Amino acid sequence: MLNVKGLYHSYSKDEHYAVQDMTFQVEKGEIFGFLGPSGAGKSTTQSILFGLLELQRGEVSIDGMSVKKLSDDFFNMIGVSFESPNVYKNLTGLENLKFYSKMFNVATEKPEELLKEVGLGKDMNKKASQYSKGMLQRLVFARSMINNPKIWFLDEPTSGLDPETASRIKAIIKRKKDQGTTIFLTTHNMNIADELCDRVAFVNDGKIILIDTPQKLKLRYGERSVKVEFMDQEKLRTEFISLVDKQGQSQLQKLVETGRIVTMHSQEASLEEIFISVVGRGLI
Amino acid sequence: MNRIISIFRRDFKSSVREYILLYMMIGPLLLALGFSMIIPNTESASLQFALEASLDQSIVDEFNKYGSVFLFESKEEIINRVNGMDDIAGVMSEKEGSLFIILEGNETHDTKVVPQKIIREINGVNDASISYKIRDIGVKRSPISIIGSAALMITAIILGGIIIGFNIIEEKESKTIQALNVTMMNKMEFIIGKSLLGFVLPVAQVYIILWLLKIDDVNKLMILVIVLSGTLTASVLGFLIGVISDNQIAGVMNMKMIYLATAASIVGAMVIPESSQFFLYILPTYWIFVGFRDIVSNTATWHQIIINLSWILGMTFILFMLIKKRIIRGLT
Repeated sequence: MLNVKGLYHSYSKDEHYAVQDMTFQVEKGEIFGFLGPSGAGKSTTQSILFGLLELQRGEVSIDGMSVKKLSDDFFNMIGVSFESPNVYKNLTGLENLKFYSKMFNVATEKPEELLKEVGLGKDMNKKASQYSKGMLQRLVFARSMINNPKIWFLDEPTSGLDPETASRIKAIIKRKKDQGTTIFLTTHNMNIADELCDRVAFVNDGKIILIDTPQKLKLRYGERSVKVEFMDQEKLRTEFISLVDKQGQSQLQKLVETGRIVTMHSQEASLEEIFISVVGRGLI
Repeated sequence: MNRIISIFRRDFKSSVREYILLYMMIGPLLLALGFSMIIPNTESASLQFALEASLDQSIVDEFNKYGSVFLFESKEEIINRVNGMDDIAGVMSEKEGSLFIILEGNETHDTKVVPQKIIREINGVNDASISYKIRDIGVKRSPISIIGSAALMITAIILGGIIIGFNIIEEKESKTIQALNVTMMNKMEFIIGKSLLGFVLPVAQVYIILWLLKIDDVNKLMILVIVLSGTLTASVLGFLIGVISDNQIAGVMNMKMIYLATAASIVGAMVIPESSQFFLYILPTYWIFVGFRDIVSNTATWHQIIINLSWILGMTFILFMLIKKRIIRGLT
């Protein structure tokens, strides 16, 4: 669905690249996480993918169409949910969506339905200037669905949302994936990425450091051990027990059999820990 | 076309909900309304007489030689008319047939004295102490009315462009322009859609201004030609304000600069001798103002209007070519 090959971009049009030698593919119906700290080149890459920035060097195609020559079909096919709440504050939520729906040549979703879906049904006739940050975020999210895109670019879609609303947004993303929408998710929230993404790419200093499924990354970079809290002579003890060597396996088996285990947690690495270990810096 | 109309409708809706833009939209009309109360109306540049309808036709004909005559059935109607805002002398007859004049008291000298002279003429009284030469020099409108209406019309046009600029600033501030750039809307549709308000609004405002000022004996087609060419200039200036201003405060500052150039055109055309006005020729606003001034004073010819039009379009084109790249870059 999305093919990127040898992508470079320089704002100063010299050898100081904001993005360099990026190559990756995203399959149809896949949720692809693009993870990295601020200034890593995520937004630059994304802006090139949906045509906001000119393609300087490399190849980018979406559904076989090159972004070098942007056609009407291209824009009918993509949806973009920006991180910034870029809506018309003097218009109501409903007016914002109705206006935006006129910008496409394909059958569009009903604005009222979309607003209800993201929990703005009651507030659809309020001016956007009266919306909270979270409501604006949901309005931008709803707007990006108006043309029922084949490929959907989401930039921090749950940023600033309360857990319940974030859960609602994640459910919509999962449903869209099930319907065959390809999703390009840019975030620095590793929990969201872990929960939603089929594959993730770690980006730093304009380069892709690694690409894989969250599960494989955890297995590759995590320790195969468990953290066990158990009762030992009426005292609570904590031990890390290896799942690989025989001594550890037998120790764990004994603890299970004696029924002294209070808690037990597998010690696979989180995506954030993997990122820090691979890149050498955090995500902020 | 659908997208262009949508952009226009959005801008209109947004503008009427934004106080600063709403004031810009209705400002010229409020000024015109106020202006209509303080300037002499179109008729009062010539003399006006309110006469009883029962007077002899010969008397009416005599007054008609000197100004506009309005006939009224009763004395009360004449008194009411004289009490109106403009200058008009009432002429009524007494029982024995002699004529007398009623005035409000604040009329101009001519309105007070000329009816006396006419009545003396009718009565065959030749008062040597009064000597009058009355000559029609073709001026039907006061200079205040001409300059004021032309200035109001050019204000409406320039404000139309400034509204375009402020709508672009809104798009930039809220980054909604980014969201539009990932739709099918292309730059030309955006530019035309944004410009429409700057065309439609001044056209409507200019004709309303003329109506409010009771200026109805002007060539409406000439007015339209100058308005449309002027809106082109204003639109280019509006886009320039929009792309160079990062926020509304910067927009207000740039608006003042634009209006300074407009004011210079108006003042220059009024106070500088015509032979020295050549250095104002590069300002399209000068040609817009001169065009309106000549049309309102009924001295404009199509030949002159075409010259004005050529200067306006030529200078606007040069201005556009100079800032074209900046505008396109600013809209990305």
